[in-house]
Amino acid sequence: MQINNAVVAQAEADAPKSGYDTTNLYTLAVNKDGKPDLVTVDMNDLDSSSQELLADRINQTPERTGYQGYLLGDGIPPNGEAFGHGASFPTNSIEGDYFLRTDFMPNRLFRQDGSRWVKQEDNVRMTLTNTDSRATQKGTFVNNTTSNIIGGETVTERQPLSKALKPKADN
Amino acid sequence: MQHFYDGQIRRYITQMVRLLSNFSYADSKGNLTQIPVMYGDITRQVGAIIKDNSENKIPSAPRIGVYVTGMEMDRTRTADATYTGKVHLRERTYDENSNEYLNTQGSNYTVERLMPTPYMLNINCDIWSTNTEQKLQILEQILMLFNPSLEIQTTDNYVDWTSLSVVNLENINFSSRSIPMGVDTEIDVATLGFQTPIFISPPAKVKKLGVITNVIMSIFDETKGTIDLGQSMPELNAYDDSWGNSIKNKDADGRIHLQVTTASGYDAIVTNTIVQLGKNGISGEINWREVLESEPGEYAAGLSKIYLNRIDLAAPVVGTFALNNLDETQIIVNWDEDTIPTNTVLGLPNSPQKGTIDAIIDPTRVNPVNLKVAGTRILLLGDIGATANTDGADAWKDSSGNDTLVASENDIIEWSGTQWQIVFDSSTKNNPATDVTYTTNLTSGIQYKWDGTEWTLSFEGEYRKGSWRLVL
Repeated sequence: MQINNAVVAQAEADAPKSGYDTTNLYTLAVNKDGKPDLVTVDMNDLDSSSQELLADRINQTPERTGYQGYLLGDGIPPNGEAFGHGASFPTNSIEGDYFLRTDFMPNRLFRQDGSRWVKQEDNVRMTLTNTDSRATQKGTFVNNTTSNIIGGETVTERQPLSKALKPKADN
Repeated sequence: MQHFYDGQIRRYITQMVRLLSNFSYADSKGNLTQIPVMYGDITRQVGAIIKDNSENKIPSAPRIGVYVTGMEMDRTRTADATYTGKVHLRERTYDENSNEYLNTQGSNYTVERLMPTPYMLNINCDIWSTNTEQKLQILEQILMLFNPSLEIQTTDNYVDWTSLSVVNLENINFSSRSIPMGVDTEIDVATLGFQTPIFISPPAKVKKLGVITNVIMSIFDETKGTIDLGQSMPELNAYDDSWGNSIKNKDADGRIHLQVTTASGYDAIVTNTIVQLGKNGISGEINWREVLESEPGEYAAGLSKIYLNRIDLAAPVVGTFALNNLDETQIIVNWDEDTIPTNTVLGLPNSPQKGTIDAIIDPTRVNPVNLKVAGTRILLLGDIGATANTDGADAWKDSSGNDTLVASENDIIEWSGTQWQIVFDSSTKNNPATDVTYTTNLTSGIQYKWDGTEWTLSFEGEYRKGSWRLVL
């Protein structure tokens, strides 16, 4: 098993998750004219008392990632911007804030555009290793420990297809 | 050819091992045991070590062995072998001290990738089992994955356009044993035959970001029927204060002959060491970061350069600049003196030879009493003295009280210690080809150019888009 584990570890180092890693790449936020969208103190009437605002911020946060491709969504805002997370949106937010809704499956990243929260991306990148927590569509049928209470009876959600809802002994 | 190895086939094999790992079987008591997966074509030395150097030790089961059975070129996927795919990337700044990426723009790159060569990789997976139930458990878990295929990735690098592939289950050999079974009780091996389309890539080229920031187009002139490069090409490097000689959109006849498009679309207004951006005749309102953030390269204060092109200078005027932190509509430039036109040395035969002046004054308004130091030079903004005038202004008389100075507007005069002498006579310097003269006012540090008609700023002024550029 040690050899097996070492090979898997090497494979995981080569490709930790499905899709492509763009966390090290920079996305330049642009305005409607295609120019860099600046939010420096010189350019805007900024309220420096706002807790969400970074004093050294120069660029507005990007409205979308600048890179396109297969399976890029990782739930992390472009440029590594700070973001909150939770099951409901925060009440105090300003334009450019990011928020990861963890009640979505897969988790969904939103950005505040000044008036509403706009979907950015879904966290669709995941490990390629056959772990017990892998959550692909097929994986959610296999890696499933959920049980439901149906009609007062606890029913295990994952059941072999041949045994699912099979009639019980009816004497 | 230089040695090159990136372990590309090796990565496909490790991913295949990963794909088949973490499966388990349940024994009769319900205990789960993970099935080890190993590369089948191991070296003899490693094989001997695994067997504890004993010929009597047989491999344990269950076990999965993965090995390559063949590889052939996939001609159906071949494409233009000379095609080079480019991808332009901007990295985030990396902080070497904290070993983390920051949320600001860092280095910019262009990565060139040559068309990779397609192959089909055939891989077998041998499933060793000690009994049929064990084999069925393993197969059921694996076989349900291939519907119709399974994706694998060798890397998650964004620029690696070959990292994604699929694994197709092509054939299944259910058992290696013959039926009816003979006297041997060999380990039963079920074999799954996989095929995966792969690419073998040459190394990529990682270069400094190279994108077009200026586009200068010669527009077809229907009146002439040709694109007159002889007329338009010199204008690519042109700058002149007058609209007619600058990089322009319209010629004197009103027709568009040249169209300049730049990434920023801004003009540059140069005033001594300050450069501001301008558009539609308005300057001082545009933040330089708009340009610095979008240009290829990474701005570095004191290292980034600005180039100014003028029609009357063979080489551009160059300076390193830094953003004015107090007013980001300005950059402060440290001009490279070697790129600024050299001052023309002036002087009378018995006076100092130099190319600078000390002041520019209107002789009818200023009394030069404080300027009467030997060697002091003045550029005149008006005429002073006249041959017909027997008693001129006292301020401009020589030390003996005589009216020896008769000078005109645009002349440069020098105090010799006893009298004012003309060292630059503008009335005799009226040939724009041979009489071009440069001089710097030491008081302001501004250099001026005599073009045969008038004094103008030598390189300061408004540079229209296309006549200036940045190198970050």
